[in-house]
Amino acid sequence: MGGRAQVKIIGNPDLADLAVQRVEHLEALWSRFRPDSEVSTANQDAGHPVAVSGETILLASLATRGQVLTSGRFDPLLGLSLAQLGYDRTFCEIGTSTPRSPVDLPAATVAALCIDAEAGTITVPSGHAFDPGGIGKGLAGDLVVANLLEAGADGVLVDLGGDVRVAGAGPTEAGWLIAVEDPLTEGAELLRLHLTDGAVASSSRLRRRWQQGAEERHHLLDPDTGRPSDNSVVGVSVVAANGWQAEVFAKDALLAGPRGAIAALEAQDVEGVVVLDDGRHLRTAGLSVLT
Amino acid sequence: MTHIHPLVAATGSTPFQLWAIGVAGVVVYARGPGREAWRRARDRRLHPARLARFTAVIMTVVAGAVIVTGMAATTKPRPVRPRAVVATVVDLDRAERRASFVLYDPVPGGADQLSPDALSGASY
Repeated sequence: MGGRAQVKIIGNPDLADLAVQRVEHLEALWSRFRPDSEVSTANQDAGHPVAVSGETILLASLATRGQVLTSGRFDPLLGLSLAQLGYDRTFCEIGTSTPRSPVDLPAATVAALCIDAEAGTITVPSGHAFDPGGIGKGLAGDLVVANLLEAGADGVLVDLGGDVRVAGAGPTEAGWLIAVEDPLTEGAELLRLHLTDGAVASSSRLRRRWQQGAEERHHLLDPDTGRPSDNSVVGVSVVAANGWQAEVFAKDALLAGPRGAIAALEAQDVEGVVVLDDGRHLRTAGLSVLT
Repeated sequence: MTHIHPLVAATGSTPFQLWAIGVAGVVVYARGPGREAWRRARDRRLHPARLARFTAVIMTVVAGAVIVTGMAATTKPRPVRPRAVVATVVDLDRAERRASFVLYDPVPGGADQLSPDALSGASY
């Protein structure tokens, strides 16, 4: 999932192995950089139904749900645009390879995954590619936490590349202490909160940047243009009940721009902080009571 | 020759009157409380009682400075206790379930007091 992962377990420490297995299993199912993953198979066979696991059915269902909830601003089918912009391999490999030349991007079109839960198949529409990206990390956190609690853990924290999901007992009565990073200043924090059951996810266009010809690219694409967003929002962190929701709504707010970001978060009944390129922070009501 | 008008010309009693007024003024000045205080203030010889008061004041000031300096040197900084509020967010899938969290004030140096369990930042 393109980042570090940490799991903290209250209770049985032997469950750590299970956590690693589950994360690796989900990575093997959903990575678009592994040719044998279910997502890659579905993309290669776009336009045709592909048999996938229950986890991938759930991922596709929630991705489509996120697309509907955000009126299309969260679009999980921009994988082809990302690849054409140069993000067609793991980010580590981009950093060591020759910069790609710019390409003519296709016009963005509205499309959706076709999911047949009974048959256990998904169909990626032709001319598109499913990119689980952030929602994959968020949902993986949700699933791993649930698995570990079912296996007997008293409490769990799963941190997948900065997407944090907690549930069950915490190390203190107040829960797990989560710090939210300031995307503009390395090492600085925007806020801290004790979370007992829920998720915090962050998204920023200042990370995952690469050079394509003379142009600098980043991975957060505007579905209206198929190009990297260029509004003044540089980062969004969201507190939500689940990891997948936090990821979807962070992207939604980031693409909504400075005037629509807070309204987008409040419309979904989640809390969040929006960082603008001039250093200003905008917060939803629940996160601004102390400022 | 100077001519003096009879109405303003000095009489034989005038020098005595001036002397009487002058002496009375000196007596009043010399006996007045302000003069006495001024005289004591100008007296460089320290009366034992004044010396005792002066010494007590100096000792009090020195003792205060020692106490304040000692406290500053030995007192540990008070642990940062951020203000906090409890807030909740709703789970879209299950409306009855809400994720609750305690939000903390951003406190300079707070990281030294409480080490977070995780850092949410954008890696993707």
